[in-house]
Amino acid sequence: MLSRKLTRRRFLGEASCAAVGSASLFSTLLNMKMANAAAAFNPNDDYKALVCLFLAGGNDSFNMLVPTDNSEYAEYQTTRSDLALSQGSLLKLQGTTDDGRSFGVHPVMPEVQQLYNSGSLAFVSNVGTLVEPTTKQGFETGTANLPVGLFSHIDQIAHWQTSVPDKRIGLGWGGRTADLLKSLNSNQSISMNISLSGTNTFQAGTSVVDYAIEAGGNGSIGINGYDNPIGALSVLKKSALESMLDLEYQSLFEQTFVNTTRMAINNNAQFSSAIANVPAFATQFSANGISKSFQMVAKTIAARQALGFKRQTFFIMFGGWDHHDEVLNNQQAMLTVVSKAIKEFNDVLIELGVHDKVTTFTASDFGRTLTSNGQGSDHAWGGNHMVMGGAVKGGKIYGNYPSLYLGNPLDVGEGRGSLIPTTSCDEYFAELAHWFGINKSELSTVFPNIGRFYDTASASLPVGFMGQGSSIPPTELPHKNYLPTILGDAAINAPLLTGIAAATAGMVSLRQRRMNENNEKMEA
Amino acid sequence: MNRREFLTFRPPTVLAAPAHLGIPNANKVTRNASLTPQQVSSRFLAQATLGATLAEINEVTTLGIETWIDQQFTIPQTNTLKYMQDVIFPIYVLEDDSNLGKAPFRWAWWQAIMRGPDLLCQRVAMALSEIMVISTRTDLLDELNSCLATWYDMLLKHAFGNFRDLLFDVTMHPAMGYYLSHASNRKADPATNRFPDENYAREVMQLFSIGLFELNLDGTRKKDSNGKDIPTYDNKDIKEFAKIFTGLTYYILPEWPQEEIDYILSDEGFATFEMGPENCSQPMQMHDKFHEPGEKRLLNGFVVPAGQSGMQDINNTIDNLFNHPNVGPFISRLLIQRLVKSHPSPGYIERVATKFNNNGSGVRGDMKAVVKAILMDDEARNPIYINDPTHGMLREPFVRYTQLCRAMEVRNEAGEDQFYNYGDDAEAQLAQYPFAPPSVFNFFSPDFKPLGPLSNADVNAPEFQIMTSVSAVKHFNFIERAVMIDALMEVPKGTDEPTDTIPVVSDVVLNLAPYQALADNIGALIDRLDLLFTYGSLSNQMRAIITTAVTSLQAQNEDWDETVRFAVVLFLNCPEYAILK
Repeated sequence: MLSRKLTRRRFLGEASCAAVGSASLFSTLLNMKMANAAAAFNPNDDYKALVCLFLAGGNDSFNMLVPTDNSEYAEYQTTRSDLALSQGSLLKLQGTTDDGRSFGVHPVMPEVQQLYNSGSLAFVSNVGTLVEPTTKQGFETGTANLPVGLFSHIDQIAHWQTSVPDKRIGLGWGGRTADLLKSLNSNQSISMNISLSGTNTFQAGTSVVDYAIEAGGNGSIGINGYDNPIGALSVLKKSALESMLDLEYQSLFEQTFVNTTRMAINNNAQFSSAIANVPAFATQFSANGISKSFQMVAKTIAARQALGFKRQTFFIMFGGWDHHDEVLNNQQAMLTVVSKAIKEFNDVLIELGVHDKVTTFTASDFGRTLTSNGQGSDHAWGGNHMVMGGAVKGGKIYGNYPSLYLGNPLDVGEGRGSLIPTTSCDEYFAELAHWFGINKSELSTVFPNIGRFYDTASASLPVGFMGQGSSIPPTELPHKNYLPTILGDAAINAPLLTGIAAATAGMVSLRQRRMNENNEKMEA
Repeated sequence: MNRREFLTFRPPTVLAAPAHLGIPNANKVTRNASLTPQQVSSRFLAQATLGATLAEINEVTTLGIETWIDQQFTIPQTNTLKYMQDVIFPIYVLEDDSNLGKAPFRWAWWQAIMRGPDLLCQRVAMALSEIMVISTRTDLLDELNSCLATWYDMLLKHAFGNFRDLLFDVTMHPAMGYYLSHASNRKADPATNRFPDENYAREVMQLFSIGLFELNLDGTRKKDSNGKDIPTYDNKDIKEFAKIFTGLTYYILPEWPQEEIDYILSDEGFATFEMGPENCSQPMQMHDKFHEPGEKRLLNGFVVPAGQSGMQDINNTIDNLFNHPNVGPFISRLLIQRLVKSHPSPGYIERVATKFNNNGSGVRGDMKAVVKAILMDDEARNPIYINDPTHGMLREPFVRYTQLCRAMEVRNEAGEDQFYNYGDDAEAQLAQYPFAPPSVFNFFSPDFKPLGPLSNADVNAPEFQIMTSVSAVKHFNFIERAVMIDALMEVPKGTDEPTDTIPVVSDVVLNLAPYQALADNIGALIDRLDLLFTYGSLSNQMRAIITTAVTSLQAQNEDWDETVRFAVVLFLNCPEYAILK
């Protein structure tokens, strides 16, 4: 077993060398980029980002935004029965709608309440997938053209990402938008569509695929020891792998495997060193994956100039909203996460001076039935959504918040309370895409059905929630001087080396413990 | 080779042909499709198992593929529940699965994978686990080891049984009742606007039996007079099926105090009844007082009459689904995708679906006939498909891992023939872990087409949905570390020291003894690994790259086992291994 130990030592040795090696290799480049990053905090730079928070499974959003006036609350309470939140627990939103109605948000969303009341966040009510403006009569008589696979997760998740609900297609509106706008970016190797949640339809375009990163570390990871110029194993490994990736394969599967690997390797060094150079934020993020994902989005935005981006989309999927059971408890826990995460994100955008350059919006498969199945709710159609950012005309509920009594003119649930959307996904998304840089004349390229809902020659916006926004200066924070501290290699590598030592020590001691236990067992 | 040479070293790149858009490139890599009988066996086992040893390959060569399959049909199946109860709980002086987190089932499952002789059955059960989906990404299921063990044992039982029984047992299993929330589902109460839960009703049709659209026998979609797809059901059907799946809840132990049982069977108690370690391994039970009365209109004009018991309703419904003409092509296609290829031809699906509909003796849903039809089909067996550009599949990340462990005959250095693999690190690194998909839609969609060459050719390739810039690199690093330093399996964090958070490598090591003699003969070493991992199909170019790299390492290296490990790493990460053809 001597040689096994040698191998282990050598492998671990090269892995740690690798870190030293790559840090040294990149340090010059790194310092230059840091200087760029320091100069990057110009509030007038032409940058815009769209951040999609997809609540997968179907958020029960008529418990996220609830009418608070007595008569409307009574309707809500009767319909929702055991799912109704108590009137007193709802967090009141400032002001009333144009037609004089009052609303509150779920009791675990004080941050959202605050964002709304301070004008950074708006709701868009009863949004959903529509092929064309649809009436109850059209639905019930079968004359209406309906989304393919209405009420099914797979199709509705796809439609919310493609905005083409009359077809099953694999390209999303974020991808089609990127096809049109990606030339604005000087960086053409890393995709402008960055996903924190892996492959998705929203960001797939004809010429663009998502670049997947993760919330931890520097977002992107590389092959261990890949740029270690010393170790024989590493050098040979890299040579062999590069040679494999250079070949052209007759098999479409092998070629796809190689393309994916190649993209991962090529983008890693550039991306992770740019992220590593982003100074720590003063804004604190919660420890859960959603907050951490927003934090990584913020880091990527902070590195936008080092990376060469003027337009980016981000995709974060938060799964588990299919609350057929235990909707009250589960939704409460998950809305807590959402509310805190988007507030943290809002704060860091102010800290970075890009509050008006980044717009965050929610999406979800569908709303849920207003009635209960006994502690849960089932698949329905229209739902309520949030839009957040400095360019959003916040503090307002857009669209039409529907009546919630059963059998109302939008209810096609046959007693279950399933509402025909009154704002189409096309209108909701076209407004975002237009703000992002898609001219009105090009909206129908991205949204082929938009003409059924909105006259693209019109002077007004499809829904009206986006304004131009004004930039909020970075708040006075301890970190407002963004000139980074240049760390020495030793400092950079110390945690890694310590980590390896700790891991190795742990291995030995626990192995030893188990052997001792075995011995004790045998003795007994 | 000196250091300078190392720095500039690169295997011969003349092998790489430049791209010429639109011009057929004669130099594109093609694989060797002329296989020896031993290589033919290895290729078969790559489809039919979660990994095979050299001895198992030789056994198939001796027996012949069909005889081996028939023999597999007769092997007693693994019983993970019994293993857990007999072997694992006693170690910890436990009577049930309390207090050990998720370790017991994971250990038992790994033991089954590594030591169970029922190789084919376990491969099919793993495929079924990605069709009939539950997920341990829920608070409760993750730690109810007996529930998971009976779930896996149930899949094993029906892998060689009948699909009708599988569908019934899936419906009645507490893991499914919990996951798709039809456990404790009550009949409608119009006074409070309460209606039956529609969750299971929808997914049992969409995912477990018939799918969204009427299908021809060959899996293509039937069209209406306007040329449009024909949905198999609508939302009204969902509401009818939802009524069927009311009245079920978790097993009630007869010895429980009567007042407790009375409470469970009260309206309030029934709605909130949850399973625990003591009742999570028995099927759910029907309580007619909570079952929706009245007739229910199911598919294809079938009417469940009023006045039946809840179990009669469920049996009628399972029959209604099982006898739907879609099941054969729908399920056959999904199983072909897991075992053989991502994009089967309509003819292949039709041949398998025909066996599903009738095994030759008039039996519908005979899984043995289906499995055999999948694996014996010309499209699976004929080596000519190896160089069909649209043939094959990206091996699932987890199956690449199990194959490494089985093919390299890993063993526990501490002496006992147990593996105790907790698997947390694998779960974090591989983008896939058995029974832990992100949702009921599995790890990937059967219709996923990655953008690029495959989507351009309109070819499905589901597994690419979880191959991203992140997971591709993590997979590489995980496999490399596993092979180079025997970081193959993981001692559970929770048992040695409950508070310990450092991932710990166990005593499981690669069995490199058979390779010592090969390390001096790189050609023979490559041949052996080509047999085990790429069933002799390695292209000349790939062989040249791996040979050059391994020879270069050997030239400056006194450790024969490092040479072997390095060769294994290159094999397990080369595109010709990743793609099973």
